[in-house]
Amino acid sequence: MSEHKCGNWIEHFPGNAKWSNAIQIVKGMAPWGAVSLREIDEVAARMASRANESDHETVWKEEWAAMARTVAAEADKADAEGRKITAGDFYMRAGNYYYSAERMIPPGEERLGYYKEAIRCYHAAVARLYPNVEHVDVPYQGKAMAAFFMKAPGVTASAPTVVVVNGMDNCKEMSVIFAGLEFAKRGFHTLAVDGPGQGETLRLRGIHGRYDYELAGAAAFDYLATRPEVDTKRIAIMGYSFGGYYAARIASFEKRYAAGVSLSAAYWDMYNWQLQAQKNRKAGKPGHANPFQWRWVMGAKDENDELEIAKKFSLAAVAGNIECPYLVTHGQTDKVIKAEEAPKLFEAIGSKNKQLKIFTAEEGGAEHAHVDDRQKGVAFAADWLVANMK
Amino acid sequence: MINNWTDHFGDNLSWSNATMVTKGMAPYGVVAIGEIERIGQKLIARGNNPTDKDAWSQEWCAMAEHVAKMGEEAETKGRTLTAGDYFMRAGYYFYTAERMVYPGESKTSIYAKALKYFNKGFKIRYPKFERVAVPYENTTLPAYFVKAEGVTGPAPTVVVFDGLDNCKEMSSLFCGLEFARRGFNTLAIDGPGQGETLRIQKIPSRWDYEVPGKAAFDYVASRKEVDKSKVVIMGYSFGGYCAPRIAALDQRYAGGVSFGAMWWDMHAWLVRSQEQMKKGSMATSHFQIPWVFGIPDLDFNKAVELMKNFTLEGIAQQVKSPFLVMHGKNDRIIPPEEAETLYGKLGSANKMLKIFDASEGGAEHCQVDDRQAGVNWIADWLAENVFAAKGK
Repeated sequence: MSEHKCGNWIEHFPGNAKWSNAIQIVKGMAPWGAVSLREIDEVAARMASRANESDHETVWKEEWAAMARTVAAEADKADAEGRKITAGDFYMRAGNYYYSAERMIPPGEERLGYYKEAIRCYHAAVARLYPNVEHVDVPYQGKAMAAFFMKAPGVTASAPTVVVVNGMDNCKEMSVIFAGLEFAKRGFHTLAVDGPGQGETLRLRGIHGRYDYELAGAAAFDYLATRPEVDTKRIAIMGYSFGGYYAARIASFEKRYAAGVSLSAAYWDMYNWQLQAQKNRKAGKPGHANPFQWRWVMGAKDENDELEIAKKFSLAAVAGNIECPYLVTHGQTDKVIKAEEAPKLFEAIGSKNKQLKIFTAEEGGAEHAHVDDRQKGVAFAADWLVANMK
Repeated sequence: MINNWTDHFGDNLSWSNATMVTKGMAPYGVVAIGEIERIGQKLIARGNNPTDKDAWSQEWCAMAEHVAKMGEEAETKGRTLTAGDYFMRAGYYFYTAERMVYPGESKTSIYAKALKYFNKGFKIRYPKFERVAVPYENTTLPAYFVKAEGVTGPAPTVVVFDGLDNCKEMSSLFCGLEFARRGFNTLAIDGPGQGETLRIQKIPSRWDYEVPGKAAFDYVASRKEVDKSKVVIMGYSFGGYCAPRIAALDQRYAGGVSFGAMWWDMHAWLVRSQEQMKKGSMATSHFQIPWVFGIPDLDFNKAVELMKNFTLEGIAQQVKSPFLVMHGKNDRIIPPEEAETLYGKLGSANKMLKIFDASEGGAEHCQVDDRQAGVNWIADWLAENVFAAKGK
């Protein structure tokens, strides 16, 4: 149909790392039927035709929002006609597109408006398509983190459970699908949490990210311990993308977890990473991340505060405390966090039973957090948990 | 490089169409777009030439072997579910490789690999799918019976026949999974001239498709899970010819769906095809039609002659049950006017023509560019027009 010249699966917009990375995240949901590659292709074609406009963030927002509105309207129509499952499929797509639209907008009312549309669609989809998923509140510091609990179907006795925390820009509505469905096949329950600084918990509850994520990890564990379906001796902590830091930090301090997974490592030296990001911004060199992202997610006051916070995000003194079986995965051609970061984390981990798995381009899943073949990364983690979380 | 969703190989319709069929399985997690794209890059590097059938089969086979090996490694380590994912991918890639290979030993051996990995993959990933043998004349037809979810008594059932180049391993997922979620059973069957039936059992297609249609009905009617008063006949692509024919001549079916209409005048289509072939601009391989129709020396002239029997004129008018005709406005294989013709001829009091346009998506052949949207539409229509039994 569309005749636009474009790049490929991994680099949809050659030379535009920000758009390419962000669209890959949406495309990464394709294997679960949660997005339509045809619709994504159409959005991309429209964006490509506007690539000469100076404000790429606005182009991004407008084109995703336009598609999201179209699909959400189809969902509402189907729903009103009693076509609930069809509505569910369209709501899921619309949720992912609205969430994508929101991605590059600076924090504020406009962004919140899009997020609210995303959450309306996402939740309508989950209710219609995945009745075994519950939206739950996980008590945390006198407030609550928003989470999804997905029960493994057909499991009667208490079962192993995986707590999944997101990265800088993702959300439980993605992880409950791409990780939860696969874990369920292995007989695991999944608690997909929007932790502090993530998804709904940041956007609607104003809870910012923190370096001492063991507080969130402990809260998730305490919550699961109240559920009769959960075998508390076999609860794993997993984080993907930036969550690769959180998972390792939690496993260092919260010893009740039986295993841990960093589904890709984060930067080992966060201070230098943020320092470099500040320098790049001043030099007018845009990276993958939004310029406001770190400040917003962490609730930093100013540039100096950004760096002070980043300093505390260090696993150097703590990863040696990890004792449970631990898996670090990474993509060899990761363009967001270089593959050389993963061995740094791996080496520092104190566990006797630890594994580093680098996905090569030849085998696939070599991009950031295996987004180019997420099934492959998650299946590996799931198999590893089956074998190592005894 | 022009490298988008529907036209992966630019003007090379043969390769773009075949790739789209495989990419169309992406929403079910049984193929990996990253892998398909790596194949595509190699094919483009080798000249993007539709007549280079060796390039096509070699590159698809190479990736198929690669993922099959990863599957076998995972299986050896006891990582069964992971192996299942790889086996599924290997099955679709081998099946895609086979598509352009001239009938003969090489084609058969590639198909045998496709089937081997399909069978391994389905067993692991879809253990509830039942491989069944549907009695037909003095033999049987292979099919998957996919049971409705969460249903205890007899349930509505959809019999799905494939097209010229597809197989039950596609339809059992893209229809079977969705219908199961709606509480319908599915019989995804390789009829005469289709999939395993043609390739392993050497049973070619036939113009009087009501014969396999009746066999399929007899089979599902024998199963306790099936509500005999609510069995629907559906065909996609070339199956869009079979479904109205069966609905007309076996009125035990409670409804029918052409998921993509076929050419109304099949004979004229083949006469034109012969011309196009000389120019090399066909989506289908030149041997495909004579092969599917069992012409021993693959003589296209004989296929043209035979095709005179393939007509719905005087038959479509006999269809009485509710009938849905679906088509894509941008279908490059069969134009949407053909769907209008079929729709106009159908005798049903309750009939529906649904054309998907580019703005809503699913505008390509049999909604392959957004198969979910197409199948959802069918499922809703069946629920409302056939299975709800409103006023019936």
